Amino acid sequence: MSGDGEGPAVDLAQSDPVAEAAIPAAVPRLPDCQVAIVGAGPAGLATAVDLHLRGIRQVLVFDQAAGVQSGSRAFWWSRRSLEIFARLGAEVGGGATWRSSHVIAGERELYRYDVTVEAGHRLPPFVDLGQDRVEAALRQRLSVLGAQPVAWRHRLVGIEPREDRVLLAFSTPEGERSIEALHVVAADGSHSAVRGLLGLNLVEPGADEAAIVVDARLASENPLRRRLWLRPPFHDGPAAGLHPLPEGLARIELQLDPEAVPAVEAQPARLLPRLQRMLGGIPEIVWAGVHAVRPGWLRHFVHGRVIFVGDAAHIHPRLSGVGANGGIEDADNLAWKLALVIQDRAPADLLDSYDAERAGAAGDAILLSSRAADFVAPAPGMATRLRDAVLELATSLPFARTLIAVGRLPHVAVFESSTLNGPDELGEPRLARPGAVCPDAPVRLEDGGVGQLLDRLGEGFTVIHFLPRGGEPSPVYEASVRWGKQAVPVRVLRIGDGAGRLGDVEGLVAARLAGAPGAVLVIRPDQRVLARFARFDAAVIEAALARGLAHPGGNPWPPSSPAPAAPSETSKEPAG
Amino acid sequence: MTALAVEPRLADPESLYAELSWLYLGLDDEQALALSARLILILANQIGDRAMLREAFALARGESSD
Repeated sequence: MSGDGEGPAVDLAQSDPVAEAAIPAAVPRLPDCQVAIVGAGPAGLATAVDLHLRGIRQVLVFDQAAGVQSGSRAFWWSRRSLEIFARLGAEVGGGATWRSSHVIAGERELYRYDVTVEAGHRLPPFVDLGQDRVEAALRQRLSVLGAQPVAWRHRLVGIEPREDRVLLAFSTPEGERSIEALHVVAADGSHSAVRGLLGLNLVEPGADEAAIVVDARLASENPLRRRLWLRPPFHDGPAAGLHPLPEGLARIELQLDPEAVPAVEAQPARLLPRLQRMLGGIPEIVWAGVHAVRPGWLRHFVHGRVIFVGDAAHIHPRLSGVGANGGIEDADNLAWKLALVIQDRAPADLLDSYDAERAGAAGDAILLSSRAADFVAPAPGMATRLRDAVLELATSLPFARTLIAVGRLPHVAVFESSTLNGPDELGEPRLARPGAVCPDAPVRLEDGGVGQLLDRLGEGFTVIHFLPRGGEPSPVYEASVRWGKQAVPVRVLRIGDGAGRLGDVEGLVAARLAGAPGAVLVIRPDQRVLARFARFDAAVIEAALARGLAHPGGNPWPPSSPAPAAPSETSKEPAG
Repeated sequence: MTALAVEPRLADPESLYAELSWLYLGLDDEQALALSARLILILANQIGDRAMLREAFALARGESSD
């Protein structure tokens, strides 16, 4: 049963409990939605938007909070997250991009990192912007798409996975409410109720970290400069940070020693003198709190019909840069796979690749950021002396600067060993290898204007073909027509000069993707490279697509098996 | 196959020993540890070869080499 029919979404507020009670017990209750998302943070909202865009419209989002949360909380968004927001149509704007990052040890500047802005990118390398602004943009996008608004004040108190659905029990101010869904996306954060109720523990927990976090209005701060202190002179913890935010605000972070009691250190009598020493005056405090973290991750993100995203699945050391961004990448990775599985266009095995790809990325990220955390707050003894030795030597010795594990920007994960990946006949550049995000580049459009390559990718799969000398072979045209009509459509993008082609402005498409004439890149719905070939061969490409859909047997579009029962949008009659 | 050399390579080894000791003359334990940490990093960078360094670490730990 396809989930992408037109028609009004089921409005649960209108459901009639008396009518439901009148249904004879022998008729199984239809699920209330295709996907229930528990948690309305960035990862949950991004998943909801992406599912809607992919034709899964019976999506309900629940959150235990009373309503919209204020406070900047996570504030560093990578370019990859910005690309994903653009693809989702969420208008995330107004962020600030600092130009230089300064690592200061004691009173001495140790190391400076300047942001280099590569030409030919529409988006900045990152932005500082409060989480509340990102959430607002995603909620706005959901509203424009006609989705149900977030169901606030829904606290999950029970979850019961069954073979064909998941039962959820929420406590609300109006009483207990039960929901049945085909799938559940657990996006409920570091203290995930879903995780707790299913009895799942995080593995390989890292060292606890805590910091006092303050959003302040500073009259005289340089908005283009980020500062990180190790052994700050104004604070008796291991580290401190000053990050510019938009609109004249700044985020101040004071990391605490493991023995410190966060609630005590956050008291004004303890906090304000630190700020006074740090800034030379007491700033206007807009928001202050304590952020405590115990890093760790779930060994598996997929548990039958319950799928974990964001902090519910993986908790990173503070200032890793991959916490909130990891949740956005999880949503990006999951939504196309879950949509195809619900629509019976891919086997449920496809979700195993979400597990392998994202759990692997989370583990790698936590390892890297744990090294940074160990550098910022080393264990007592020789570890501290070695770290201090790096700080001493780095001011004068180039090799020592390379040992500094903080102050750099994190990288986007590349799924080099994903089972979905096809062959790489080109080998270069590494930037566009299978498992990597397809690099973006400016392209000349048919009307003569300039656009971006990523904006031209299909919502499904895309085959990018660099036109060979002598023009397009007819098998390419025939394949593109056939593929455009498939249940999982494939768009062919031709790079070259002339009608129906995207021009390579400044040669950046070829340079970043390896555009030898005739070359082919197959791109997944989440804009990641699946395979690279030296020439266009429809059968070979179809084999790669089949592998990318986890279809055994090499056919990307096998006949569908009977679909599971899905909720009807207009009546209570069993559908399909 | 060992990368690390354990046969004598120092010219005038006795004076090297004296020079090492003089490095630490007048330093208290804390200063000596800090100096040692810096020296480890400087020499590790000079050696460069990770396999060789790992053999050195193992040797320092008291493990036998193959």
